[in-house]
Amino acid sequence: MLISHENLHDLKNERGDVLPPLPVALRLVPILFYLSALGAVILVVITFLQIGHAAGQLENTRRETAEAKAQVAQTQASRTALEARTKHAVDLLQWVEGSVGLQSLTVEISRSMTAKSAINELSFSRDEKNNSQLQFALKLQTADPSQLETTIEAIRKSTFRPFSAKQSQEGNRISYEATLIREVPTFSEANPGK
Amino acid sequence: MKLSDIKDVLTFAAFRPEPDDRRAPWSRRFDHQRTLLLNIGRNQTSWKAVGKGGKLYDGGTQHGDFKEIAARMTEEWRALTDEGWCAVSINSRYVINLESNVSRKPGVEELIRSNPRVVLGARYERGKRYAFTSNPESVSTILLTVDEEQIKQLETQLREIGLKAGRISCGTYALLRRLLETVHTNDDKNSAKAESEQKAQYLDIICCDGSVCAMLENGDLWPELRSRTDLYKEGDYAAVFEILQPFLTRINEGGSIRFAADIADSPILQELRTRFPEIPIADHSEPDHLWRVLADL
Repeated sequence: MLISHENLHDLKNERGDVLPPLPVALRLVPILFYLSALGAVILVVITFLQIGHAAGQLENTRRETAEAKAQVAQTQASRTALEARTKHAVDLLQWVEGSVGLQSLTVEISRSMTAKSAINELSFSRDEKNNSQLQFALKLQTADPSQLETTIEAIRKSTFRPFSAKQSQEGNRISYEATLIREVPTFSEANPGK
Repeated sequence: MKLSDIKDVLTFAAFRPEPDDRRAPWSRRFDHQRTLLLNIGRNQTSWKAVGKGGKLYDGGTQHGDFKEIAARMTEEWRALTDEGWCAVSINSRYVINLESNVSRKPGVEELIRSNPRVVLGARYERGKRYAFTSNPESVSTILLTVDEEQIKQLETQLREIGLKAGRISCGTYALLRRLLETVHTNDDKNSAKAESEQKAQYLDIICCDGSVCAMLENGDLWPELRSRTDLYKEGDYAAVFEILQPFLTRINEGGSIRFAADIADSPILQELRTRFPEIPIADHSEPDHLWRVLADL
């Protein structure tokens, strides 16, 4: 004889809406819910960590940008200084090159000085608007009355012709100012043998 | 769908049986909370608390009317439960008898709750509730009958003191059913053991806190059953032997006794062994036997 095991009998008034437990397989629903909630929390944490990391990176980038800008400004300042120096050098070079034509004139004036004479001051200046004319100023200390004539003759030999000359003398001191214009020699003058 | 339904799913409560779901064992319903077990007799009420994991503790007994005891013990009983749930054993005003030709159709166990008239036919009485155990090998059926009014009154009294009845059963009937489940575990009719059992004569004796139920088993037949409530008090077992006497006389001719009581080492068992040393007695009682049966442990 087999009398199978059963739940204990129950005589109480039974509620009409007693429901059986949900199937075990449906436990996946709350388990998945909690897993997804956990995943969401992990994602939020990761997001916040990434935000913090990105903020640090942004700060670094800003700092590096500021440093780069400062470096660019410094480089531009150096370049400006270098360009200024280059311009100065170019100007100097142009001045040197521009003064080459006056060297022979200066040598002729120096050679025209006798033993009794001395040059106190000699200057050449060129008008920017009319740069083909050369302003010439000479201050001499001399005991020779013909010294100025000798010097003017030497200037003429150097293919410059003075005009609008002003001359003054105080004792042995002679001041002479004139505008020098280069004389272009004729073909026969430039080529005397032909 | 209610918010509480969603909460039950998320707390996994929806995957556990409801506290008053009679289809689920007590231990599954209240695996994680303390509940109270009550055994209510006519003049005596005893109780025991069952804790998490089925651990039994903190019991007691008081004599008197249940209503007065309940009024005195309200606070203590409420403190022994987490949510006020209790399992009740009725130990008075019930009848256990043998019937024959009770329906064996599938689903009659459920049907007897909703429409007992269909199951019991002419044996049905208005205002009663029933439980039954059928003998699979014969037409006999053990039928438990309890007054519906008594159950309703008991539920009201429990509600008044803040307790909720998760189960109301009859302790004596439950012990008898458990004894039968324990001893009749073999359906192999051809085995030698089954053959010897088919010829053997047994007297099943259940003693539960003053109530006695004795059933004679003659092979696969259940020829006779006697049940009485409030039959004995501690130290006075004369009435027990009085109703057992006809059975014991028949058993004395070569049968044996299967004994189960609400407690281990019952004085009635000692008395039986003293008075009938020639009858083999198998004791199926365990410590806290009634409480363990009530709590499905």
